Amino acid sequence: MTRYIVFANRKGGCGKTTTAVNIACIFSIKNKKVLLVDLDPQAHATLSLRINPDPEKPNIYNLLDKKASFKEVIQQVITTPKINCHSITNKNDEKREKSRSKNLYIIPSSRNLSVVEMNAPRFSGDELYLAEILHNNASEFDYVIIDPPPSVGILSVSALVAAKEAYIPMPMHFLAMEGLAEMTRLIYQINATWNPELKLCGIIPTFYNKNTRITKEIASDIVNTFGTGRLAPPIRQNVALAEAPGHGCSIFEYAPDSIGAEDYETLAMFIENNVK
Amino acid sequence: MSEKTDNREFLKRTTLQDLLNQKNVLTPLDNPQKRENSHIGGKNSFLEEKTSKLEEISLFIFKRGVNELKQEKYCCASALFETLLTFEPDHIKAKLNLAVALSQVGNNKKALAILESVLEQEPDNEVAIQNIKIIEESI
Ligand SMILES: Nc1ncnc2c1ncn2[C@@H]1O[C@H](COP(=O)(O)OP(=O)(O)OP(=O)(O)O)[C@@H](O)[C@H]1O
Ligand SMILES: [Mg+2]
Repeated sequence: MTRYIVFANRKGGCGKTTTAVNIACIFSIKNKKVLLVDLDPQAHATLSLRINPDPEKPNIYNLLDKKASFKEVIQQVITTPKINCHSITNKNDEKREKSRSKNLYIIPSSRNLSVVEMNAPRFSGDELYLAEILHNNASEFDYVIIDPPPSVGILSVSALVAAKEAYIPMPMHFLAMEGLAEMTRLIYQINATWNPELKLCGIIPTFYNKNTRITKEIASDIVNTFGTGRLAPPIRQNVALAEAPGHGCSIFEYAPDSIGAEDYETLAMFIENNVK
Repeated sequence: MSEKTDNREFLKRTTLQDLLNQKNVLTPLDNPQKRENSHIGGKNSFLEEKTSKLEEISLFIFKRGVNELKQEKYCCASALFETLLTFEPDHIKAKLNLAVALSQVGNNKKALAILESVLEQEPDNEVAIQNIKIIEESI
C-alpha cells in the first residue's frame, strides 16, 4: 500500500520543505521506494536535491497542465554529496556512502508553476486532478511525499486532496498555533468535501527548544486537544539543516552525525510506525 | 468589580482549544474521519467512492447535529450544521435546524436569512414560514 503524505502548513518557513526532503531521503536510504512531489513554485525541494528547476525540462507544471505524462515528469535523484563541506571525519564518510540510494525519485517544480495558482480557472474537479494522477500511477512507490507551497490556493488544496496523511510542522509559537488551528480547520473541511481519507496524523514541533515555557505550554495544548499520539518527535534548531540544501543533499549525506540527522531519523521512525 | 474579572480574563492564555472553538472546528477527537484500506481503481470508481462516502459523512454529521440540538447544545449543533452546509449548500433540513440553533443563541438575523434562503429553494416550506413568523414576533 502506497502511503501518501503531505507536510502542510500555510505558514511559511516552518520547516515543510526541510522535513519533506529529509524524510523522503531517509525512507529511500531505508530501502523504500520514494517519490517526492515538489508542488511549490519556489522549487525549494527541487533545489535542495541539486536539481535545476528549469521550466524547459519536464516538471510538475507540465503534468498539471496535461502536457506531459506521469512517467515523463518523474526523475531519479542521484545524490552526489560534496565531501569537505562540513567538519568531516572518516566515520562520516562511511555513513555518507551508506546513505547513497537509488530509491529516490522526484517530480521537480519550476517557476512557471505559479501560473497554475494565478490563473486557476477553478472549474470543479481541478482539485482532484493531482490525486487522480498520483493514485493511478504511483502504486509502485512505498511513499509519495508532497511539499506544498505556503498558501491556501489550488496547489495546497490539491496536495491535501491527494494525500492521505497530513503532518503539520510548526515552530512552538503562539501565532504558529493559530496557524495550526486554521490548518486543522482546512484539513477537516477537505476531509468533509473532497477527500474522506485525509487524516491529521501528527504535529511536528520544528525549531524546537525544550527549555522555553511557551514550548511546554503549546506541547501540552496539542496533547490535550489531539491526544498524545499526535505529537510527533520534535526537530531541534540545527544549523546543518539550513546548510545542507546549499550542498544539494540531505542531512544524512551532509552531516550524518548532527542532531538534525538524529532528529529526522527519529521522526521517520515515528511516521513509519504511525499507522492505525 | 467587573473590571477585576476582565483583567484576569485578559491575562488568561488563549489555548489551542480556544482557537479551534473560535473557528467552529469540532473537537478533533470526535471528528468523523475515517481510514479505509479501500483500493482506488480507475477514474470512475475513484469518484463514485467519494460520492458515497460523502453521503455517509453528511448523514453522520446531520444526526450528530440533531442530537446536540435535542440536548440544547446550540453552539455545537450550529457548528455541525454549518460544516454540513459547506459541502451540501442546499441541504434544507440542515438549514432549518441551523436556524433553530442560531435563534436559540440570539442570532435571529442570521437565522432569518437562512430561513429566507430555504424559501427561495422551496417557497411553500411550512416549517420555514412558521419559524420566520415566530422569530419575527419575538424580536
Ligand atoms: N530545524 C531547523 N534548524 C535550523 N534551520 C532550519 C530548520 N528547519 C528548517 N530550517 C531552515 O529554515 C528555513 C525555512 O525552512 P523550510 O524551507 O523547510 O520551510 P518551509 O515551510 O518549506 O518554507 P516555505 O513556506 O517557504 O515553503 C530554511 O532556510 C531551512 O533551511
Ligand atoms: Mg517549502
